[in-house]
Amino acid sequence: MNGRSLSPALSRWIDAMVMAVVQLAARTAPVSLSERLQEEWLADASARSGGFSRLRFALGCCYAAVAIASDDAGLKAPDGNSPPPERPMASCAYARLGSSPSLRTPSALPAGTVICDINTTPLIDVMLVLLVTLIVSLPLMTHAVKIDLPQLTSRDDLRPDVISLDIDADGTVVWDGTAVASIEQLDGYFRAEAMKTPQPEIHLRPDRRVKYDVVARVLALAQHDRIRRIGFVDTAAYKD
Amino acid sequence: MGRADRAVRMSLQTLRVLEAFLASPADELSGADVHKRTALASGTLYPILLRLESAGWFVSRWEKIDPGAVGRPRRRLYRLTPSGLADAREIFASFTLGRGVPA
Repeated sequence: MNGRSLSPALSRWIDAMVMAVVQLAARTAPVSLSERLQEEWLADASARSGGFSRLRFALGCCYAAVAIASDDAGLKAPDGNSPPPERPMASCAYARLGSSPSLRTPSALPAGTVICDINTTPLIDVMLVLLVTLIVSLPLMTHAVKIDLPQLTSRDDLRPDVISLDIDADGTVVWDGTAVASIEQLDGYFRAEAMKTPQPEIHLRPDRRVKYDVVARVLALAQHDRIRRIGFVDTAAYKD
Repeated sequence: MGRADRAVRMSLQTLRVLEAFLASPADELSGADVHKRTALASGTLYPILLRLESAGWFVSRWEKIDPGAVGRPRRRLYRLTPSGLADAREIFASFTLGRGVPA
């Protein structure tokens, strides 16, 4: 992803973040180098083409500042002249760059003294990960998508009606307490209910002595008329 | 500045930076230029540049431009010193001759 694909607002936000992070990083560096590094890093950041590339550059500057500060602190050799063995470059020091000796270490240590400092490198890594996570997630948190959702007026509106459909032992179909005269009338009832939204629930309660043929025809007709909410009720009566 | 003062820890990344400068020793390169040639991240690149400068291998100066006229901020330009150039060439020659990693 490069800067051209970013929205102008996001690009401006990233540039502001780059400047803030670089300034923060430069302040982490030794005081004598802080101003120079800030100007140098901001200039080099502007040479990067993409917004995220500049942001990655700025975050890297944080790490660079810690490394430079660590080098600067390590430059203070015990006798002030000879370098520590693990840092052979240290002796020429930042003195040439104008670093103040007082900034290097809090005090001169005797030769051979073990410095029991906390290794802050993993802490810096974790901090950078958290910072990147925060930076990436901030625009997402502030960006809301407006959707017009249907408003619920009353719970009763959503509750489907219940129609009782009984089938007597002699095959008579009873629609909500009213005997159905013919299969065409039942077909008309089913079609009318199928058009409703939501569809009513049809509770089918056939007599245990009625022929299955009658029940099957009622079910087939309901299916043909696209009745979706139909089911047997009081099924415990059929168990005996 | 004695030879001991000029000792720099020669990591692979440091060698890549030196190689970028050795490609055209007379050129002055900014950190952005070195990044383009080495693809080193800023967290690695700038400590190396400062170490090499503090060790006398590089000198640096501000670019002499008018930021308002050019439309961009001035950059810090690094250049190999004559002694740094000689040392860098010696190091890469040692690799060429198969003498292994220089001390």
